[in-house]
Amino acid sequence: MSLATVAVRPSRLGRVSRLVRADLLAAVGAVLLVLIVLASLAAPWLAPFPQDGTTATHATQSLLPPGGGHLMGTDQVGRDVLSRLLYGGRTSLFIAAVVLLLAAAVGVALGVIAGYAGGVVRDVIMRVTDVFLAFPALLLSLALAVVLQPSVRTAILAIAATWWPWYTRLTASIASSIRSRGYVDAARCLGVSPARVMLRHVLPNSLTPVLVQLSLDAGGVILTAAALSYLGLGAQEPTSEWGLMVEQGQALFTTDWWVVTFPGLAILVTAFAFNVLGEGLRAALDPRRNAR
Amino acid sequence: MSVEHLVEVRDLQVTHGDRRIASIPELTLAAAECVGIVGESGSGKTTSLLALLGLLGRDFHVSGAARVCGVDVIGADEREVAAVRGSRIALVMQNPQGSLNPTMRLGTLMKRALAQHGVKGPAARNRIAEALSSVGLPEGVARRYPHQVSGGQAQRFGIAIAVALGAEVIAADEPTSALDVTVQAGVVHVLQRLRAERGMGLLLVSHDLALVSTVADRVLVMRHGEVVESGTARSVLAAPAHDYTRELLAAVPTLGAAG
Amino acid sequence: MGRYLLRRLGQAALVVVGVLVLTFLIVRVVPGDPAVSVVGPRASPEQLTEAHHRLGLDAPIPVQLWNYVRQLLTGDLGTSLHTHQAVTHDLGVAFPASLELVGAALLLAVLVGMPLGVLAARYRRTGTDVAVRVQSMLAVSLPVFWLALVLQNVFATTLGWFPVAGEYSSSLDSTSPLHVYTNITLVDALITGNWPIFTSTLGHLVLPALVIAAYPMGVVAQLTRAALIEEMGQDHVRMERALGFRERQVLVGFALRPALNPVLSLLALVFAYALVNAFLVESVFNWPGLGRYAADAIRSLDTPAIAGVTLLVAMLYVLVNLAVDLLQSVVDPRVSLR
Repeated sequence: MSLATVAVRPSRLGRVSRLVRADLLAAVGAVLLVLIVLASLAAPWLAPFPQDGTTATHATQSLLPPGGGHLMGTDQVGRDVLSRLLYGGRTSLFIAAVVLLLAAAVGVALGVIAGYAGGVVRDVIMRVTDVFLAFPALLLSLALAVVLQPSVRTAILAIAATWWPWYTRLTASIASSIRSRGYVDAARCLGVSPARVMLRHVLPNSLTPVLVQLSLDAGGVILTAAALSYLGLGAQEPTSEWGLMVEQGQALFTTDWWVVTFPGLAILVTAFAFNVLGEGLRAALDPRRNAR
Repeated sequence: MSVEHLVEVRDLQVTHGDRRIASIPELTLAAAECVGIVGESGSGKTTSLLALLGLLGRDFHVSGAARVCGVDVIGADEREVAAVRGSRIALVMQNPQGSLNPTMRLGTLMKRALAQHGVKGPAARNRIAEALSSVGLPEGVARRYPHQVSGGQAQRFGIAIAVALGAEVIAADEPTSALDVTVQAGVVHVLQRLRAERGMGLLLVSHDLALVSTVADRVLVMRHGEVVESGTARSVLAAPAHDYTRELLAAVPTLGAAG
Repeated sequence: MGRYLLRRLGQAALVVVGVLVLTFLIVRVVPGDPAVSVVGPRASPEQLTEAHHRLGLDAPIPVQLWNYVRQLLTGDLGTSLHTHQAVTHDLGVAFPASLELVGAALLLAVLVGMPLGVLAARYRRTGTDVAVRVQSMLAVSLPVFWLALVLQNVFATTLGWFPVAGEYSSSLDSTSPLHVYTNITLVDALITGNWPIFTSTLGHLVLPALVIAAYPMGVVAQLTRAALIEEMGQDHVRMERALGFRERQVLVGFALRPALNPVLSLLALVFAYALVNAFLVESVFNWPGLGRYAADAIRSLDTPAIAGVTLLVAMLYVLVNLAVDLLQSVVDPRVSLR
């Protein structure tokens, strides 16, 4: 089984690149994403006014329209919108990365246990995931964020708390299907430790679906994080964050459109890039969908 | 051969991209006759059958001449071919339950099919009752969903739709291979009776040589999309001229010993 | 069917218990000291102890949980700290308004999304298909609060085509006051024949409903397309074509219904998601629903109100899920056998 997995992987990668080439939309998403990640990483060098991304304010230059020295204009305290946009990308991508890492780690671990143990343990874990799934992500985040002190860290914890059950469900179904194929029982007869069998068989087989799920979820996490910040429950001033930028500029929309328009577009484009890439990956990697 | 043929095929070629999938130089089917098409999976026998129904997707290219009940099913436009499907030539598929819409009662499906071909109201009700009894199904079956009937019943029902629509040709694609042996006999019996009583023609695609040898008058042996041998069932199966036919026969224990 | 029903109900009951426990934990255990918010920060230790006892906070956690559940069973969700009304009363007013908004949005989403999905499936791999896919991908990637601001500023503030905010023109309260029965304004206006308020509400509904509809519309279109394409590959579709049905008839008359199943089950999820999106949109359009209530509650750290909203939405989600599962077993008779 593990031999087969190893043998399959190179051709799988080949298939991915072929299909990304075939799926123009996903390719567009991938390119956009690379640009967004690079721009965010290089924010300190790319931003025309790097100090505006953090603490600096310039009372005399408030609300300058786009053009001249400020491509996307300035906000009400005179900060360069483009610079804050670039720094905001760092915040959004950081939140998404940590949330997904946490959610996948917890979710996959519980899923492996549920799928492997079966019986009562599986039932208990699955009912717990049902309970968490009953709370829409933003709602549980709202409740948690009110109770805890609002900050980027709180937002991360709150979103991760609602996202892990998906990974548990995914991994549990894979684990139990592998279990039903008898490898685990066979290995146990041969004296191999069951835990080891799970690691050797379940994890490699879960890798692809989990990756696809991660890329599909990233867009949703970014939207949720932005929404939390917009409600004042996520990133706090002076951190640059797109949702926060929209919140701060909303009263000025009619007169100073650029303060709200650009951060909103940034959220839209980033979520869109993740979503089309995820859809493309799913089409390329999910054998069931691939048959179509 | 002065009889009007129900099916007439000449130089039928099916290609997918630059790959030739099926090629049939000649095939005729007269009323009450049964022509068997045998071969292993991937030999192009199902593809040929679908070509006659005009059911191959746009990815496939079909050329040559094929007439079903006088209608050119390759050259005619889609509307004309659709009118032939069901009412003149009916398809019976391998997976009897899977070939019926899971969300529809059997009677509803039949009623809709009749309406599609212009039979409505009391006439349709009569046809349904008559068709069901002709295949040995109780009328109550019409109120069932596909998952509520057995495989044999579902397959009989598939045949009943053909009867209700007044089809002259039944194109059967492995009609018995998904069924239990005892049920198979019943379905074959129904098909045979329809040939005898109504003069229906039967195109029987199968890899089951034992079945083909008992039912078919003539046989086409296909391999890799080509017809390697054809003739009367008796001559082909008793004295195969082609190595491939011999291999197929050898795979069937009783027939192999007899040949 | 009977056994399936029982099993499904049992599952739902377990989830309800879990939801109660989780909400209790969030509200009663995690935050600091609820007694402080009652007696104020400058209270003496004696006052605090007395408050603890009065609020039952000196009891062990399981006992507190039991008291909490008992309170809930009598319909008591506590008193809101910012409206000083019973939370149940506030929810009773706010929830119907949200339901009105989300209901309109979902209706819009299904009416637009489903035909789009059918269209994309019918003309698969053509320009139409790509256009529908891009459009639905954009729809699910839009930050709703931003979309709300954009539409409000363009179509209400700048162009003046639609009212900027509110549920209906407040001047109508004096000229043609509304008799409240269900708290769903559209319904109340309709049954009392209050046309000024009915039309005014419809006008006020357009923009926020459009914003909330964007996401479910994209999801419904995508899913309808995928489910239909999968269904069109099934054996029964070949049979229906072989019976002489035309491609469009097969698609709409035969393949759509079994394909609706996954769409339906996702609609439950989408409903919850749309309700939460309504939280963001209601604040922008000042719609008097759960979202505005929750936003106000957040601002004043009103834990009982937040807990009430959370509990209500989660319960609703469980119920909708249950309803969809049962509905599914009607649409597709095979479901109850699984």
